Amino acid sequence: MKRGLTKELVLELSQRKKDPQWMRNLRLRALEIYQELPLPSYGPDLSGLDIDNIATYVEPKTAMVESWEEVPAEIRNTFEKLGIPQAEREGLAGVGAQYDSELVYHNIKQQIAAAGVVYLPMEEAVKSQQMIKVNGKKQRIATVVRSHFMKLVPPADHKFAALHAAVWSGGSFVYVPEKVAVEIPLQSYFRFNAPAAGQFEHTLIIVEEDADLHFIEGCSAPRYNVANLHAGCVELYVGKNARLKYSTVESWSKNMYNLNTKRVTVAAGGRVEWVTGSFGSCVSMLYPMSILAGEGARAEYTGVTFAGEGQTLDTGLKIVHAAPKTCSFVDARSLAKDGGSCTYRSKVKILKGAKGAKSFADCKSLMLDNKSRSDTVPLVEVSEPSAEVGHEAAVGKIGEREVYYLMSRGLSEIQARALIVRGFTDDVSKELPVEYAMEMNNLITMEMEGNT
Amino acid sequence: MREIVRTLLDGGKLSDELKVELKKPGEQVRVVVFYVGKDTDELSLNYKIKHLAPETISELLVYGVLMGEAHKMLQMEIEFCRGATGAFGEEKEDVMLLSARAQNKSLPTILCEEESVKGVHGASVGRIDEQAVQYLMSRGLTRMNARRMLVQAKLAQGLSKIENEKLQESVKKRLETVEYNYD
Repeated sequence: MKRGLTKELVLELSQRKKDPQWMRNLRLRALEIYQELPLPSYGPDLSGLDIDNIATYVEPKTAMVESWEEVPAEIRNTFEKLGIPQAEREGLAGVGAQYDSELVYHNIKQQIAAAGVVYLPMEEAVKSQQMIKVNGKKQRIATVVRSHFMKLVPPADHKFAALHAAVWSGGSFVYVPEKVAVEIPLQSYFRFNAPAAGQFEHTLIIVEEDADLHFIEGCSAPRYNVANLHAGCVELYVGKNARLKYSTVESWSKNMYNLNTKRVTVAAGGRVEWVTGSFGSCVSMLYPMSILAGEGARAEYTGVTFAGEGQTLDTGLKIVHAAPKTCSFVDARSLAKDGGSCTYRSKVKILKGAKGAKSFADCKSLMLDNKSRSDTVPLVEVSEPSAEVGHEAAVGKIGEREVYYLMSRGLSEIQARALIVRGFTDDVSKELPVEYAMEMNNLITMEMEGNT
Repeated sequence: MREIVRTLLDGGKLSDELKVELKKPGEQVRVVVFYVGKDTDELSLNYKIKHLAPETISELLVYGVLMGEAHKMLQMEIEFCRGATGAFGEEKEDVMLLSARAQNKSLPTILCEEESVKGVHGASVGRIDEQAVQYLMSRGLTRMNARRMLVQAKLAQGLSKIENEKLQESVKKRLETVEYNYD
């Protein structure tokens, strides 16, 4: 596959995927927008990113498979190390795993399918003629995708949204019908495994009225010398009185640029819970955005960001209160060590008319040494007098007294500090299923004890 | 403690900026700001406190009331530079929005590259407590006076932070002259 981002490349990609005409047009229009838009004027330095040199698509070595045993050994080993087989055995419901921009393994357990839950690779959803009911109307999945794709995050939103729209590949489509509560978390695991490959998967989730879903996105990648880019896009729709919990633990390798865009819109009485653990990448710009569009809609964000050596992690969130009685809660924690730089950047906006809206944010930063940076830049915009907004932040270091006490109980200094840090990130790890919590704790311990 | 007090009560299109650098070990500063926005006022406030030396202490406290169609943007920044060990910085904002057309923007920033410091900030945006108004009216006050009393009480929180008595008295007198009209 030719390198470099050209119209020919996008057309070739689109033809290979057998895109319908509307998708082809979208890709081409997005490419034009990408070429016009500048890089963001804030945040980390992105000059190390050379998009033209990044192949946007790498052939997978296999086609899609239904069962784990059919996945080729080399790929299976990679996933074994990341713990997927255990997760599968323990009853997590369908796994879509991405290998170099293509879904190679996809399995939907019968009980989920019987309830009408749809979990398809994104490319398949674009063409699927299966009928589902969305907003009270029976439609083909292909039609639903067309009316939702890149609507919540339009290509003109920012440069990497446009890039994504032009070269997106892989990802998941999830649909949960009215009143269905999916008891087991659905998860999707990403893996990078080729030099200079871009990850541009698209996730589209629709949770209908009164339904309930927990979706887990977790990723991991090995170390490479060439810049790797992750510019995925996640669009989430939460219906009336429905609930969506979206969990992410990411530990991308330390040469990755993680410029993912995630956005949710929540209808009246609905609720979104974001749980995020950001450990990886050399540069990250991640601001999941919640639009509280209906009365009584609610957003909760619990996140931890850990910037180690060579990392510049600029993360945060955006919340827009666009209806009365909406509320949002933010518990954001960040850590910086070994010269890492961590920035918490957020925007909470309460529009006029959002009567009785409430928002409360609590940000804590822990400095683990004298070489690192931790910055907090929270913007609060309020145009509604009946709204109540509070924001608190604190920055500091691990208390020496606490360390001394733990050492007096037999722990080494490193073990004591690691334990305190795991306690600091406890709010996030307890929201995750055990597999992920353990992985997260391992990541923290590795960071604290200096192994990677 | 060195105290800097700003009272921005005259409105209009107003821009206020203050940069303080704490360069001597143990240096302390308290900045207290009161502002009132009404009609079509536009307030742009920018306060930065930079801790360059150890054991420095800063407090940045901003109290305000917005009425009419006033727009206000406040950027407060505490910066802990490397070497400012043992420093403590607090920034706090308390805003009361009295009308549906007023717009409030706050950006309480903390920049930190020194491990052993303590930085806190808080921003809260609210309105007049209707229950408190009802209570005061049941005690014989008119609605207008009840609301005025509550607004002044909010601003008085800031008054009590000022150590210098003469300064406190003069600010108090100025706050009493403000007309609070509601929408």
